[in-house]
Amino acid sequence: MIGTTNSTSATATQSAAAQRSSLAVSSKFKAFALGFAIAMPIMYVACDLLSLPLFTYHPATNRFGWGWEAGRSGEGPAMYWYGWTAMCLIVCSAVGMIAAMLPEKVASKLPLWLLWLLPSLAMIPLAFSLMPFWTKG
Amino acid sequence: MDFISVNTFWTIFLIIHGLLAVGLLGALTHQAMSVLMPVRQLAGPPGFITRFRAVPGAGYATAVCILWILTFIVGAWIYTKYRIYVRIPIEQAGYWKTQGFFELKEHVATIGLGLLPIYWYFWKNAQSPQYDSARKWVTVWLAAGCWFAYLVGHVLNNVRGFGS
Repeated sequence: MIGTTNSTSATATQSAAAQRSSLAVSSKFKAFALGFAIAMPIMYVACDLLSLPLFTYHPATNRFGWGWEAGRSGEGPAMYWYGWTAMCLIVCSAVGMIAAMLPEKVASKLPLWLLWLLPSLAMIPLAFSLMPFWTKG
Repeated sequence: MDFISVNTFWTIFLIIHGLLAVGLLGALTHQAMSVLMPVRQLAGPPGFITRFRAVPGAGYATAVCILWILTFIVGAWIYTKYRIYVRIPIEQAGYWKTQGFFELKEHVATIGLGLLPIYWYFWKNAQSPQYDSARKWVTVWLAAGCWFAYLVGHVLNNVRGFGS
């Protein structure tokens, strides 16, 4: 029983040490994650409303095209969500990296309430952009 | 691929997507309850609700991130087939609002993806009181988004019925 307790305690100490040396205590990672999270809803709304996919996917023909492409006649629909997601991941990663390069004093001033407010507000224009679905039928 | 039909193949992935979502839903619901209604002091033996919200939330953070990403990837993969074989018949049948909610579901899933790094950071620093409020509301947002996405997916799956 004592052996088990010691072993558990040693494991806990090791994991605590590992945690201390991980991203969890990195102020640069925190700044990156903050920049990434704040940029994501803004960028996603921009991609959706301004039609800014990195690429367009045509599932019926398994074809990709750069940027926005209309669905071709006889080739089924075009999909933009993959392209929006890719665009957001790239741009938001870049914003996060810039945030990570800011002095810690500046990065720490980013308001944390934006993290839940912006995603919530983003739902308004995103829902509004789907108006044809709400008004048909 | 010869030993199973194409339909069976995609059905298996749809079920995997659903199972991952169930795991994610459970983890996020426990965690959200633990921050919204934290257990401070027990006056008597804990009941079901107390035990439900008494989980150590920090222990769920990495699992939630992994489950959200896996659910997202599997969902993104089956989405290609959905667009052709499910959405078109749904539109032909006039289920416009159902389809509209699916579009919102994909928006929620991507925006939630963007919250994962800071969500993970906050929970790995659960002992830091300056993150308490942000950690709580980011967790609640993810839990609400997960419930929304799950219910929309569930309803959508029922529109045409299994195997149709």
